[in-house]
Amino acid sequence: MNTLSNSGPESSGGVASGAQFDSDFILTFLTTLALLGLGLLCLGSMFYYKYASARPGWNVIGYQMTMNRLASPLVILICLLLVVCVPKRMLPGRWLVVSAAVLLVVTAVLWLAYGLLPAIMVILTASIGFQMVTLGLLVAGKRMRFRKSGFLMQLGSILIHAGFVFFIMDFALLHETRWHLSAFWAATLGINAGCLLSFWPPGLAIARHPSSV
Amino acid sequence: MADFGAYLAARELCGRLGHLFVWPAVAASWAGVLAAFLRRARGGGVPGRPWMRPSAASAVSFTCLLGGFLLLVWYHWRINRLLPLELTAEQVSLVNFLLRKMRGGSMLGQVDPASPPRYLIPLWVEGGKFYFWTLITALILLVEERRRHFGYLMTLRVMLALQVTGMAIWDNPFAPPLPQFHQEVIPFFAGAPREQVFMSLYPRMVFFYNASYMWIHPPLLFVAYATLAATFAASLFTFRGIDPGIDRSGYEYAKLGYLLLTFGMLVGYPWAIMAWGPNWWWDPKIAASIMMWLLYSAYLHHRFVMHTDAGRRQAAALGVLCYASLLFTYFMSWFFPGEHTF
Repeated sequence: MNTLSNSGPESSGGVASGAQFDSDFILTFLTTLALLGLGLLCLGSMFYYKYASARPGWNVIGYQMTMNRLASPLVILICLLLVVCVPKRMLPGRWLVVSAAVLLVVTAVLWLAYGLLPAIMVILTASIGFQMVTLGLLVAGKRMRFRKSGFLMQLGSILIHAGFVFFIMDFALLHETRWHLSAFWAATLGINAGCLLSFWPPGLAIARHPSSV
Repeated sequence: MADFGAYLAARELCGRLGHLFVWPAVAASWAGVLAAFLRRARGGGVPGRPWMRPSAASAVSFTCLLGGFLLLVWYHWRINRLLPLELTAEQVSLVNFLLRKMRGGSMLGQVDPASPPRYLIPLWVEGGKFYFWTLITALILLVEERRRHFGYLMTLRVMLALQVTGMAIWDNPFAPPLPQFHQEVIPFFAGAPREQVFMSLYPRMVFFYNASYMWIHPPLLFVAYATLAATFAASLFTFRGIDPGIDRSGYEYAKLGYLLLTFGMLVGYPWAIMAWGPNWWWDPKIAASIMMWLLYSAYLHHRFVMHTDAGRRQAAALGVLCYASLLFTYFMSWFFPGEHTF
């Protein structure tokens, strides 16, 4: 996923300055495609539910398992994008491609060798690790590639990404533990605080950036 | 003391008075559409009498809807005062025994004979849901009246007029008030074995009507739905030519709506676990809500990156699709089975 913040004059990517597509655009495009794909799967599931639930022998648990299986590749893709979006703030473009390829291969190998959950666990742990490094660098005042300047806005972007990663991790790995709801509320807090900071950063009037609507 | 007779009188009064708010709101919302057309036909800039201005019609429409809302507040308060689920000491000891034995009974707690459980029904159940959404849409139109974009305002006016009319005809909260709730409680007060009826009413009271989540999850979603209507109206007019003010307004409403939608949906999660257990995941309403949220996420992502006019038009197309999915998500509850079926 890309950063949930406006693009201002200091924007590093996008297509505003020309027709050249950069890594930000490709990542956003892929994220949008993954979200649309998952949306279409949701749409299909509703009609299937209506059709199948009226038949004798309907099993809601079986249906949930099937849907989880069908959604897994898209969730993995979104997780990958969440992971890849973080090093882009620290690494040059070619490193981004290399790190994405390495993660893709590692995930595929783990998925085939050990199943879905270990693959998700590794990828989400990597993502959380990257988020923490980014947060540390931000707090330390290091320059990174964000679409918007300003400490609070960048913090908001990190919180949103970390919140979603934590939410998926909670849902996939912690849902049968006693930490489930605590982790859920932590993720919810991160996502919503991140939205607030990114959407309406304190002290940043919209009029200062007339191009950033 | 329970007073079922006084409850019936309050219900009848609420039903009668409610129509005095709903139908004038319908008339005022269409009058606003007509006044805007006439104003446009006369050249737009002609100052009319204050009460003939479209903004006056919007104010009347909102005031009528607000009056009806306050009437619902009064009716729900009367239910709280008039319909306590009273039991004799003997019946209380029996239901407490049954509650201790039943699965999930510990979450329901024990009944105290000194303070019988009372309904605290939120204002967004049954017909109140669509009514509350309509009220917030009317408020947003009132706020947006300060703008000068004819098409954008006209879209909001027509949307409100259709919504108020649809509510008045098909989902009117006053015709009659809370019919489902009424059917549920009749047996308790009409001589059926109270302890038996209590055991069916009490879990629904605790997990649904009186649930604290009920005061957060639905209203956040309905306010989000209303704000996202403004994004839809702004998106429609971005196709024809980009008006920076309208474009920015639509985007600001999208951000607000997205925040409310995200928080509202997330808050529903622990409530669903508590009330339904694990068997609600991939329920059609949940799937539709996720689809809608994913589309709005895609819309915002697109807005963050694409800053060309073409990019904004693409985002506008996505904004229209998002609103279609929002309407689908709300109305599908009448056609698809599942936990959220009305």
